[in-house]
Amino acid sequence: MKNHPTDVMLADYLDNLLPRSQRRQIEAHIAECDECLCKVVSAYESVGKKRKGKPMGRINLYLVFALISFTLSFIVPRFFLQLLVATLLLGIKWVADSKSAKMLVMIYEAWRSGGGKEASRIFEALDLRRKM
Amino acid sequence: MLNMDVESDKPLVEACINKDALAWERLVRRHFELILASIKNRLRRYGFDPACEDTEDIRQDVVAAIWRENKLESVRNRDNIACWLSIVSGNMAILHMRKKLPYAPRPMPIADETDEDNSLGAAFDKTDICESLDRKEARRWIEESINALPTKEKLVVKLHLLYGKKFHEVAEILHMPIGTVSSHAKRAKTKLREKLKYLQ
Repeated sequence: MKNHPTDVMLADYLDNLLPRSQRRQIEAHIAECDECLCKVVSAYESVGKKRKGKPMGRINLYLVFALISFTLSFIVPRFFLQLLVATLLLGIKWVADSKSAKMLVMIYEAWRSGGGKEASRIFEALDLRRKM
Repeated sequence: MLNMDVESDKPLVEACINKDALAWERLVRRHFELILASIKNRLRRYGFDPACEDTEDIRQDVVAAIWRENKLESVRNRDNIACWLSIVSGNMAILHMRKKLPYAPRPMPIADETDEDNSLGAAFDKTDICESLDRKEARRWIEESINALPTKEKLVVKLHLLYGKKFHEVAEILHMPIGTVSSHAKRAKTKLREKLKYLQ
């Protein structure tokens, strides 16, 4: 089989970065070409686990709804308490799903299991990352 | 793998393109596990032993080739190079094995045999015609029947039945809803069953 898509194109296909027309071209090719299909499947399997996280768009939706609910609680005083509880729940959900909260949990877990050494190693790594 | 969720590769990738050796070292360290996993996975898919002693040589080849040929320059998704790196690492593994062998190795889809619902045989009745036919002939016939399917159905069938991927995984690979994957698979299986009836 000739005209294989480049590795960059296959990677962009997996990352869902291609326009629809190019996606169709790649799909038509990998449906026929076992080597390219194998590349896609193999990369999906090797990388796949890291895709399980929730998309940021959905996480930020919690914040948007929390703000809407908070505003509504003042506009509709009859449901003040209910809307405030909803705001609180959505806010907790947003904080719990954000990366910073996960990082804090990670540092706490490291501190508990490995003592201060492990935690300071993570702090050092974070510091280096900020400098980049 | 965890770090890749959190960090963007972009600053390191751009530093590497400008031949920053320190950034390169950090990028390699960040993706060390991914490179090894990709090499082993592709070797397994081509029927080689993933635990063979060549994996370390291949890993070094991957790292050296990307740096020497400045391959990172061609990457478009610099925020996350994982998919590209995985494909390149796998390619290098097969290239390495091709140099050693007198023949060109071919990919061998391996469905998870423990998952009965996903095996090729499960697409048809257990007491089916495959037993009454010469296995080779049946296999050729099934392959031809799969190849005659429309593109999407063919892809779904190959990923689900030959590569043993579950519907949600097929949906992730092809970026389509699970319901669509399921209906493609159902339609394809019906067509394959109809075709195979003529063999009886």
